[in-house]
Amino acid sequence: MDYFVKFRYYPGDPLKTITSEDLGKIAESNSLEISLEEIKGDIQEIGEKTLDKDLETISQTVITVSGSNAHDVQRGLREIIKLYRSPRTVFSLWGSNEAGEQIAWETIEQMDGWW
Amino acid sequence: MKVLGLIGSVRRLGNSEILTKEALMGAEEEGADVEILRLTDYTVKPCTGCATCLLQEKDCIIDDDANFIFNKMAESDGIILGVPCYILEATAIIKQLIDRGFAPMQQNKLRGKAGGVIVPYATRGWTQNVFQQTNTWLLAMGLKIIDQCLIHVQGLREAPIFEKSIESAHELGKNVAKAIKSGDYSYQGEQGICPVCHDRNLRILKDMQTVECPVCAVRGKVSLKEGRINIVFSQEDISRNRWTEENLRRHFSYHLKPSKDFFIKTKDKRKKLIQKYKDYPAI
Repeated sequence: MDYFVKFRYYPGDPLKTITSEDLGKIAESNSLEISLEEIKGDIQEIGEKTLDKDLETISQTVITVSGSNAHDVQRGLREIIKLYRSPRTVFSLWGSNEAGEQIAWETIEQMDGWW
Repeated sequence: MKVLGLIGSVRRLGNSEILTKEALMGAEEEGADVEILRLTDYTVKPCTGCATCLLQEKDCIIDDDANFIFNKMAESDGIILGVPCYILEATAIIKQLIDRGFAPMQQNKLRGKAGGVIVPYATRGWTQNVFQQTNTWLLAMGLKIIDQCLIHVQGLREAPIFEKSIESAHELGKNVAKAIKSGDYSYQGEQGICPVCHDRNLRILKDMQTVECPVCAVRGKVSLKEGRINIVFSQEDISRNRWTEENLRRHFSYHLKPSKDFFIKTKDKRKKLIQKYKDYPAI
């Protein structure tokens, strides 16, 4: 796959619950592979400890999108952002490949940037 | 019951000070003990972005009076801020204290206290951003804003000649004290648009259907009804406002603290790319 994108949504980031059903439809209509992973972090009584933890290990919902056609990937990312809004931080794309990160960055700026 | 007046104007006995004192007199009528700090009499240096408060979970380590001001606020049950609007915005001390608020925001020492804001200004139409700043500061600290008023005056010490202005400030002080006494923290000021901060400023998002309060991040849906703008904020939208205890904790836990790991992970790449900026001469 030429384009490999990780969208890491931390608790409170997505505007609605991320579901495999929604992602399955987006994958099918755009000829993409999309997977969903739930990660549970070190949750303590006072909340989750996130300092000095690998950012991949703290609580998050990770959407992984892969595809070989830039337009398909971009269309799929647009649909994801339309549903859930874009991930909130720079490190939310951590684990994407360079081509995927570039296309994800552009799409996020277009849809959820300041202007 | 203690109510603290904070004055954000350099001018001694200017309109901000007069109106804040008038509000405190109102609070006293409701049984409050009062105290006043003139914020600009204290040294509040800029936040250096050292992240000690975030990454070592400590008080701010800058040696100045900001911690003293925040501690005074923490000792009070209610806070009345009087600050002038100069060019569209509040004075610089407010921005300085917003930036220095990272530690108290995380510590939640001020959460649940009652707040009131009085803003004297001179020219209609030149005040658009002022409550964005006062709300950003006080809501970030977890205060519940009971009342806020914009007071139209012109020159130095003129507030007392406008009877209505004095009455508004007095009433605001009473409202803050009454809220503390009764435990009813419902908003008593003029209703704006945002259901959280009550300001009238909104951003139009790129979908051209959604608006968002730039301060609270509450999103609403816009439609036109008989030629009038109609905005609907659902309860879910309101619960997403950035200033709830849970949402602020999430912001620190998930958006800010993991940046340390990202910083470590990107060290080699950053080192390679930074050299040309190190070599570029600064004036």
